[in-house]
Amino acid sequence: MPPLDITIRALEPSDADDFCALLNAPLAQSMTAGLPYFSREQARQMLANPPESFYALAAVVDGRVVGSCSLRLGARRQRHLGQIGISVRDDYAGQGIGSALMAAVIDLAENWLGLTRLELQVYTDNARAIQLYEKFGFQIEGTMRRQALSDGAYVDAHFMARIKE
Amino acid sequence: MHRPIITLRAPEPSDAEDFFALHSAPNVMAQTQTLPHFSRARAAAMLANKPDALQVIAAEVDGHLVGVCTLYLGEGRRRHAGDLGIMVRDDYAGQGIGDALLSGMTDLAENWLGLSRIELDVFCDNQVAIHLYKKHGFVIEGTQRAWALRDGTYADAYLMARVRVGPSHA
Repeated sequence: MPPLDITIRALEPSDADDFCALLNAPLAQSMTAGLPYFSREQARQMLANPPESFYALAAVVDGRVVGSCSLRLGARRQRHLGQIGISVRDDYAGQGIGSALMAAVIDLAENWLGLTRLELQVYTDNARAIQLYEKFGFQIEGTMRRQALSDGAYVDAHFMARIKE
Repeated sequence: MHRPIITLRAPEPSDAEDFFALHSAPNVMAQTQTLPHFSRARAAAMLANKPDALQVIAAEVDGHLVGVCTLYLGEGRRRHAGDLGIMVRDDYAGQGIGDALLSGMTDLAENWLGLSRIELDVFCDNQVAIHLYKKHGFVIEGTQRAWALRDGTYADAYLMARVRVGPSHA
Protein backbone atom coordinates (compact mmCIF):
# COMPACT_ATOMS: atom_id res chain seq x y z
CA MET A 1 0.00 0.00 0.00
CA PRO A 2 1.56 3.36 -0.98
CA PRO A 3 2.07 5.85 1.87
CA LEU A 4 -0.69 8.39 2.31
CA ASP A 5 -0.27 11.98 1.21
CA ILE A 6 -0.85 13.71 4.54
CA THR A 7 -1.02 17.46 5.06
CA ILE A 8 -0.72 18.89 8.57
CA ARG A 9 -2.26 22.30 9.15
CA ALA A 10 -4.20 24.19 11.82
CA LEU A 11 -7.62 22.84 12.67
CA GLU A 12 -10.17 25.46 11.53
CA PRO A 13 -13.79 26.16 12.52
CA SER A 14 -14.80 25.05 9.00
CA ASP A 15 -13.47 21.58 9.85
CA ALA A 16 -16.30 21.07 12.35
CA ASP A 17 -18.15 18.38 10.39
CA ASP A 18 -15.05 16.28 9.72
CA PHE A 19 -13.93 16.79 13.33
CA CYS A 20 -17.29 15.55 14.55
CA ALA A 21 -17.11 12.44 12.34
CA LEU A 22 -13.59 11.76 13.60
CA LEU A 23 -14.48 11.92 17.27
CA ASN A 24 -17.69 9.92 16.84
CA ALA A 25 -15.91 7.00 15.16
CA PRO A 26 -16.27 4.25 17.79
CA LEU A 27 -12.61 3.56 18.51
CA ALA A 28 -11.61 7.21 18.38
CA GLN A 29 -14.43 8.04 20.76
CA SER A 30 -13.71 5.32 23.30
CA MET A 31 -9.93 5.72 23.15
CA THR A 32 -9.97 9.44 23.88
CA ALA A 33 -11.72 11.22 26.72
CA GLY A 34 -14.88 11.87 24.74
CA LEU A 35 -18.48 10.96 25.36
CA PRO A 36 -20.56 9.32 22.64
CA TYR A 37 -22.97 11.40 20.52
CA PHE A 38 -20.66 14.38 20.04
CA SER A 39 -22.73 16.85 18.06
CA ARG A 40 -21.78 18.98 15.07
CA GLU A 41 -22.84 22.03 17.04
CA GLN A 42 -20.54 21.08 19.91
CA ALA A 43 -17.73 20.61 17.39
CA ARG A 44 -18.46 24.03 15.88
CA GLN A 45 -18.47 25.71 19.32
CA MET A 46 -15.27 23.97 20.37
CA LEU A 47 -13.40 25.03 17.25
CA ALA A 48 -14.81 28.56 17.26
CA ASN A 49 -13.98 29.16 20.95
CA PRO A 50 -10.86 27.24 21.82
CA PRO A 51 -9.59 27.55 25.39
CA GLU A 52 -6.65 29.83 26.07
CA SER A 53 -3.16 28.62 25.22
CA PHE A 54 -4.54 25.84 23.11
CA TYR A 55 -3.32 24.73 19.69
CA ALA A 56 -5.08 22.24 17.43
CA LEU A 57 -3.63 20.59 14.34
CA ALA A 58 -5.45 18.71 11.60
CA ALA A 59 -4.16 15.82 9.46
CA VAL A 60 -5.76 16.07 6.02
CA VAL A 61 -5.97 13.22 3.50
CA ASP A 62 -7.93 13.55 0.24
CA GLY A 63 -9.38 16.85 1.42
CA ARG A 64 -10.80 15.49 4.67
CA VAL A 65 -9.60 15.90 8.24
CA VAL A 66 -8.98 12.34 9.40
CA GLY A 67 -6.80 13.02 12.41
CA SER A 68 -6.28 15.80 14.91
CA CYS A 69 -3.87 16.71 17.65
CA SER A 70 -4.22 19.21 20.46
CA LEU A 71 -1.61 20.93 22.58
CA ARG A 72 -2.68 22.66 25.78
CA LEU A 73 -0.05 24.84 27.44
CA GLY A 74 0.49 24.90 31.18
CA ALA A 75 0.15 28.13 33.15
CA ARG A 76 1.90 29.89 36.01
CA ARG A 77 4.47 27.53 37.45
CA GLN A 78 3.91 25.06 34.60
CA ARG A 79 4.50 27.30 31.62
CA HIS A 80 7.24 24.91 30.45
CA LEU A 81 4.83 22.10 29.76
CA GLY A 82 2.14 21.10 27.30
CA GLN A 83 -0.52 18.39 27.31
CA ILE A 84 -1.05 16.48 24.10
CA GLY A 85 -4.08 14.61 22.79
CA ILE A 86 -4.35 12.78 19.47
CA SER A 87 -7.13 11.08 17.58
CA VAL A 88 -7.12 9.30 14.26
CA ARG A 89 -10.33 8.23 12.53
CA ASP A 90 -10.84 4.48 12.84
CA ASP A 91 -10.61 3.77 9.10
CA TYR A 92 -7.30 5.63 8.82
CA ALA A 93 -5.46 3.87 11.64
CA GLY A 94 -2.03 2.37 11.06
CA GLN A 95 -1.12 4.56 8.08
CA GLY A 96 1.29 7.07 9.58
CA ILE A 97 -1.18 9.77 10.55
CA GLY A 98 -0.42 9.54 14.25
CA SER A 99 3.29 9.80 13.50
CA ALA A 100 2.80 12.82 11.25
CA LEU A 101 0.75 14.58 13.94
CA MET A 102 3.24 13.73 16.71
CA ALA A 103 6.18 15.01 14.70
CA ALA A 104 4.34 18.25 13.99
CA VAL A 105 3.14 18.92 17.51
CA ILE A 106 6.54 18.13 19.05
CA ASP A 107 8.19 20.51 16.59
CA LEU A 108 5.68 23.25 17.46
CA ALA A 109 6.03 22.63 21.19
CA GLU A 110 9.81 22.36 21.49
CA ASN A 111 11.19 24.36 18.61
CA TRP A 112 8.76 27.26 18.55
CA LEU A 113 7.12 27.41 21.99
CA GLY A 114 10.19 26.37 23.98
CA LEU A 115 8.38 23.72 26.01
CA THR A 116 10.53 21.23 27.87
CA ARG A 117 7.93 18.78 29.20
CA LEU A 118 5.22 17.20 27.06
CA GLU A 119 2.73 14.97 28.80
CA LEU A 120 -0.22 12.83 27.87
CA GLN A 121 -2.47 10.08 29.17
CA VAL A 122 -3.29 6.84 27.36
CA TYR A 123 -5.48 3.90 28.33
CA THR A 124 -3.33 0.93 29.31
CA ASP A 125 -4.98 -1.31 26.68
CA ASN A 126 -4.23 1.07 23.79
CA ALA A 127 -1.07 -0.72 22.69
CA ARG A 128 -0.86 0.98 19.30
CA ALA A 129 -0.90 4.47 20.84
CA ILE A 130 1.60 3.54 23.56
CA GLN A 131 3.95 2.25 20.89
CA LEU A 132 3.58 5.49 18.90
CA TYR A 133 4.35 7.64 21.94
CA GLU A 134 7.37 5.54 22.90
CA LYS A 135 8.65 5.87 19.34
CA PHE A 136 8.61 9.64 19.92
CA GLY A 137 10.54 9.46 23.17
CA PHE A 138 7.68 9.42 25.66
CA GLN A 139 8.20 7.29 28.75
CA ILE A 140 5.56 5.83 31.03
CA GLU A 141 5.81 7.66 34.36
CA GLY A 142 3.04 5.75 36.10
CA THR A 143 -0.47 4.33 35.94
CA MET A 144 -3.70 5.93 37.12
CA ARG A 145 -6.06 3.26 38.43
CA ARG A 146 -9.76 3.60 37.63
CA GLN A 147 -8.94 6.70 35.65
CA ALA A 148 -12.05 6.87 33.43
CA LEU A 149 -15.31 5.13 32.60
CA SER A 150 -15.19 3.32 29.29
CA ASP A 151 -18.08 1.26 27.91
CA GLY A 152 -19.38 0.32 31.35
CA ALA A 153 -16.10 -0.36 33.15
CA TYR A 154 -13.54 1.80 34.92
CA VAL A 155 -10.22 1.54 33.11
CA ASP A 156 -6.64 2.41 33.95
CA ALA A 157 -4.48 4.91 32.08
CA HIS A 158 -0.73 5.44 31.91
CA PHE A 159 0.65 8.92 32.20
CA MET A 160 3.60 9.48 29.91
CA ALA A 161 6.02 12.31 29.33
CA ARG A 162 8.81 13.44 27.04
CA ILE A 163 11.38 15.70 28.70
CA LYS A 164 13.70 17.95 26.70
CA GLU A 165 16.89 18.20 28.75
CA MET B 1 1.81 16.72 69.37
CA HIS B 2 -0.41 19.54 70.54
CA ARG B 3 -3.75 19.07 68.86
CA PRO B 4 -5.81 22.25 68.98
CA ILE B 5 -9.58 22.40 68.60
CA ILE B 6 -10.17 22.30 64.86
CA THR B 7 -13.48 23.24 63.30
CA LEU B 8 -14.11 22.11 59.74
CA ARG B 9 -16.57 24.32 57.85
CA ALA B 10 -17.17 26.06 54.55
CA PRO B 11 -15.03 29.10 53.81
CA GLU B 12 -16.92 32.42 53.79
CA PRO B 13 -16.20 35.83 52.24
CA SER B 14 -15.28 37.09 55.72
CA ASP B 15 -12.30 34.69 55.66
CA ALA B 16 -10.61 36.79 52.96
CA GLU B 17 -7.83 38.20 55.15
CA ASP B 18 -6.98 34.76 56.60
CA PHE B 19 -7.17 33.25 53.11
CA PHE B 20 -4.66 35.85 51.96
CA ALA B 21 -2.36 35.06 54.92
CA LEU B 22 -2.57 31.33 54.16
CA HIS B 23 -1.54 31.75 50.51
CA SER B 24 1.23 34.16 51.50
CA ALA B 25 2.87 31.74 53.94
CA PRO B 26 6.24 30.80 52.37
CA ASN B 27 6.01 27.03 52.72
CA VAL B 28 2.40 26.94 51.55
CA MET B 29 3.33 29.01 48.51
CA ALA B 30 6.35 26.86 47.66
CA GLN B 31 4.65 23.51 48.04
CA THR B 32 1.52 24.35 46.05
CA GLN B 33 0.98 26.08 42.70
CA THR B 34 0.74 29.54 44.24
CA LEU B 35 2.87 32.38 42.90
CA PRO B 36 4.67 34.86 45.20
CA HIS B 37 2.98 38.17 46.03
CA PHE B 38 -0.54 36.79 46.32
CA SER B 39 -3.03 39.66 46.52
CA ARG B 40 -5.93 40.41 48.84
CA ALA B 41 -8.07 41.12 45.79
CA ARG B 42 -7.38 37.64 44.46
CA ALA B 43 -8.18 36.08 47.85
CA ALA B 44 -11.54 37.88 47.96
CA ALA B 45 -12.32 36.98 44.34
CA MET B 46 -11.55 33.30 44.89
CA LEU B 47 -13.88 33.16 47.90
CA ALA B 48 -16.61 35.04 46.07
CA ASN B 49 -16.44 33.12 42.78
CA LYS B 50 -16.14 29.47 43.67
CA PRO B 51 -17.12 27.22 40.74
CA ASP B 52 -19.60 24.43 41.54
CA ALA B 53 -17.03 21.86 40.46
CA LEU B 54 -14.77 22.97 43.30
CA GLN B 55 -15.50 21.69 46.80
CA VAL B 56 -13.69 23.49 49.63
CA ILE B 57 -13.39 22.74 53.34
CA ALA B 58 -11.81 25.28 55.69
CA ALA B 59 -10.05 24.47 58.98
CA GLU B 60 -10.62 27.05 61.71
CA VAL B 61 -8.38 27.20 64.78
CA ASP B 62 -8.48 29.99 67.41
CA GLY B 63 -11.13 31.78 65.38
CA HIS B 64 -9.07 31.94 62.19
CA LEU B 65 -9.01 30.02 58.92
CA VAL B 66 -5.55 28.41 58.96
CA GLY B 67 -5.98 25.63 56.45
CA VAL B 68 -8.06 24.59 53.45
CA CYS B 69 -8.67 21.44 51.49
CA THR B 70 -9.91 21.68 47.90
CA LEU B 71 -11.35 19.04 45.59
CA TYR B 72 -11.89 19.70 41.89
CA LEU B 73 -14.56 17.35 40.55
CA GLY B 74 -14.09 15.56 37.24
CA GLU B 75 -16.52 15.72 34.31
CA GLY B 76 -17.83 13.38 31.65
CA ARG B 77 -16.07 10.03 31.88
CA ARG B 78 -14.26 11.25 34.98
CA ARG B 79 -17.23 12.16 37.18
CA HIS B 80 -16.16 9.53 39.72
CA ALA B 81 -12.83 11.33 40.28
CA GLY B 82 -11.60 14.46 42.04
CA ASP B 83 -8.30 16.35 42.29
CA LEU B 84 -7.32 17.22 45.88
CA GLY B 85 -5.15 19.93 47.36
CA ILE B 86 -4.34 20.90 50.96
CA MET B 87 -2.82 23.99 52.52
CA VAL B 88 -1.95 24.43 56.19
CA ARG B 89 -0.40 27.74 57.25
CA ASP B 90 3.30 27.36 58.10
CA ASP B 91 2.91 28.30 61.76
CA TYR B 92 0.12 25.75 62.24
CA ALA B 93 1.98 22.78 60.75
CA GLY B 94 2.35 19.57 62.74
CA GLN B 95 -0.85 19.98 64.79
CA GLY B 96 -3.17 17.53 63.06
CA ILE B 97 -4.88 20.08 60.83
CA GLY B 98 -3.93 18.40 57.57
CA ASP B 99 -5.07 15.11 59.05
CA ALA B 100 -8.45 16.56 60.05
CA LEU B 101 -8.92 18.17 56.63
CA LEU B 102 -8.12 14.93 54.83
CA SER B 103 -10.58 12.97 56.92
CA GLY B 104 -13.24 15.58 56.23
CA MET B 105 -12.61 15.68 52.51
CA THR B 106 -12.39 11.93 51.92
CA ASP B 107 -15.70 11.62 53.80
CA LEU B 108 -17.29 14.34 51.65
CA ALA B 109 -15.88 12.90 48.44
CA GLU B 110 -16.77 9.26 48.99
CA ASN B 111 -19.81 9.25 51.27
CA TRP B 112 -21.64 12.27 49.93
CA LEU B 113 -20.40 12.84 46.36
CA GLY B 114 -19.93 9.16 45.47
CA LEU B 115 -16.39 9.53 44.15
CA SER B 116 -14.28 6.41 43.84
CA ARG B 117 -10.97 8.03 42.89
CA ILE B 118 -9.24 10.97 44.60
CA GLU B 119 -5.94 12.03 43.05
CA LEU B 120 -3.33 14.61 43.91
CA ASP B 121 0.13 15.87 42.98
CA VAL B 122 2.83 16.35 45.64
CA PHE B 123 6.47 17.34 45.28
CA CYS B 124 8.63 14.26 45.81
CA ASP B 125 10.62 15.86 48.64
CA ASN B 126 7.54 16.94 50.62
CA GLN B 127 7.89 14.05 53.05
CA VAL B 128 5.46 15.40 55.64
CA ALA B 129 2.66 15.62 53.10
CA ILE B 130 3.47 12.26 51.50
CA HIS B 131 3.39 10.58 54.89
CA LEU B 132 -0.01 12.10 55.66
CA TYR B 133 -1.46 11.05 52.30
CA LYS B 134 -0.19 7.48 52.74
CA LYS B 135 -1.80 7.38 56.18
CA HIS B 136 -5.11 8.14 54.45
CA GLY B 137 -4.76 5.37 51.89
CA PHE B 138 -3.19 7.32 49.02
CA VAL B 139 -0.72 5.32 46.94
CA ILE B 140 2.07 6.66 44.72
CA GLU B 141 1.12 5.87 41.11
CA GLY B 142 4.22 7.40 39.51
CA THR B 143 6.64 10.30 39.28
CA GLN B 144 6.09 13.31 37.04
CA ARG B 145 9.55 14.63 36.16
CA ALA B 146 10.19 18.36 36.02
CA TRP B 147 6.55 18.87 36.84
CA ALA B 148 6.47 22.45 38.13
CA LEU B 149 8.80 25.32 38.86
CA ARG B 150 9.71 25.91 42.49
CA ASP B 151 12.28 28.45 43.57
CA GLY B 152 14.26 28.23 40.35
CA THR B 153 14.14 24.47 39.76
CA TYR B 154 11.72 22.26 37.86
CA ALA B 155 10.85 19.83 40.64
CA ASP B 156 9.51 16.29 40.34
CA ALA B 157 6.09 15.43 41.79
CA TYR B 158 4.43 12.16 42.64
CA LEU B 159 0.96 11.48 41.39
CA MET B 160 -0.88 9.76 44.25
CA ALA B 161 -4.40 8.41 44.41
CA ARG B 162 -6.87 6.85 46.77
CA VAL B 163 -9.18 4.44 44.97
CA ARG B 164 -12.31 2.99 46.60
CA VAL B 165 -15.17 1.10 45.03
CA GLY B 166 -18.19 3.42 44.88
CA PRO B 167 -21.05 3.43 47.41
CA SER B 168 -23.55 0.58 47.29
CA HIS B 169 -27.33 0.64 47.47
CA ALA B 170 -28.72 0.62 51.02
